[in-house]
Amino acid sequence: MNLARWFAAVLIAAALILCTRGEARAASCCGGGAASPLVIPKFASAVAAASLDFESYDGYWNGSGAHVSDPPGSALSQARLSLGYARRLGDNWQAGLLVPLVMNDNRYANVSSSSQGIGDVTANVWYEAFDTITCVYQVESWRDLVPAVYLGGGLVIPTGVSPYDSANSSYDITGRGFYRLDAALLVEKTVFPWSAGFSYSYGVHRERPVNREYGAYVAPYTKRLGDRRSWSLSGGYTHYAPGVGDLTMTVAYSALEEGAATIDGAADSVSGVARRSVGLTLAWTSLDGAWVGRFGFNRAPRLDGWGENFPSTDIYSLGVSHVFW
Amino acid sequence: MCSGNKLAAMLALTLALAGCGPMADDLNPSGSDARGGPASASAAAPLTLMTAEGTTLTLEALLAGRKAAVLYFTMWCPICDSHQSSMQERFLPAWPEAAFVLMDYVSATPAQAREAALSSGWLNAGFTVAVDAGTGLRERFGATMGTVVVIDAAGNTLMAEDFKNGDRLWQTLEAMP
Repeated sequence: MNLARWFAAVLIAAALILCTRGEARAASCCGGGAASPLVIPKFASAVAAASLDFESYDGYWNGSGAHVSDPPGSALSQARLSLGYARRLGDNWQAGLLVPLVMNDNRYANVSSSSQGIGDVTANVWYEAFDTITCVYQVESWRDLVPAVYLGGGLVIPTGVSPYDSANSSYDITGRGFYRLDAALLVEKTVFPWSAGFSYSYGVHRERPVNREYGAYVAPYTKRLGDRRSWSLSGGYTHYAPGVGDLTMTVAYSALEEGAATIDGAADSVSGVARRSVGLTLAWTSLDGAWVGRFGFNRAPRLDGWGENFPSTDIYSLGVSHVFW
Repeated sequence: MCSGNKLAAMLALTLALAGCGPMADDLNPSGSDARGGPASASAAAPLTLMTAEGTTLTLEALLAGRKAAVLYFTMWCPICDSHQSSMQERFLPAWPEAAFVLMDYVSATPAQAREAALSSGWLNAGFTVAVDAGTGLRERFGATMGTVVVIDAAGNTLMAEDFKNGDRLWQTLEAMP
């Protein structure tokens, strides 16, 4: 379960990338600002961000895609406090680091557990494939349709507690235990007051040796998690409130798939996951563009076919970012 | 220009912190065999299960002439479901001489275990469903989500580890006389 929960954490992060897209004001969107709490707006120097996510669990999808209820008497949740900082490295280059603190709370009729610890840290590098602001107020030529495009790379570092170290219970897991290298694409376009976005990422896990499971040493073997693909589409509307700032509402549809893992080089047929979800984000951007606050809600509908081997969850997110100009 | 300095400091601090304690196992994982000697069967105390039907079942009654009991510890989760499907499709037809048990360790009563198995489609699916409420089997075998335990007719524990892809379970059953 905790393994799957981590997937959900990653998914909502991906969703937020899109959901927050339209939150920045004209001077900072189209280049950024909004693509993620940790994507620096064009011409800004840095961003610091903090977010608190609360994820509640309600059933899961089995391998056939059928939705199944949780056991009676269960209440499962995870909270994540994520702190991030991104710094501009050059006119079109930026890099960031995101550190999560994970708090698990699992209550079943016969078992209860609360635990917390650092999660898997993510480091990102983005290249901005554009040199000027791409947001427009009206389309007068084809050049006004050019979107902001980001090409990125990410490294997930297994700093969390995984099933392959000293944790002796699945309830204590805060990370997956594998390095992962991601390639990512972000595309966004704003024609005020409307905005649209698309993101795609492809991640490859590094194979690792395993000699321990839940604290107990086992016969060594090698394992590699399956390749991970995620994508998202979003649309947003921004309302400028005089004296207050920009208020943006964004809806997003996101999908995540991870292929089968391998154990000692052979495909693990019981692994692999899929999840689809929808999200809504409300964001406020201050008049000077220095502060962004956001509230997000992401839901995986409890319907057959919206996931495979994955828990269905609701995620509530509250975040704040500060942009250094 | 100090670009990147703060990021580098954050990354260094994170990795320094992560290098302490259990995290180091994942940052620099080991493939050495640290089990402390060859695995061997360990004698176990008498085993008694509480079934989801509310009856008690001894190892002898569970096996009823079969060679081994396979206890799978489930909390009715996606990974558990996947493992259980693999056992149902791959193991149950191939190993009629083994008794397969879904050991529900999250329900408090047989009735709850029955309801959980029923709602997730695992009641009457070829497994005996049992509940680990008051029997202490999870602690006894150091089990957690996905742990599979193999016990032979003499009460020896032949295996107690994560199901993974099932190959270790297959090898353990295959190695039985």
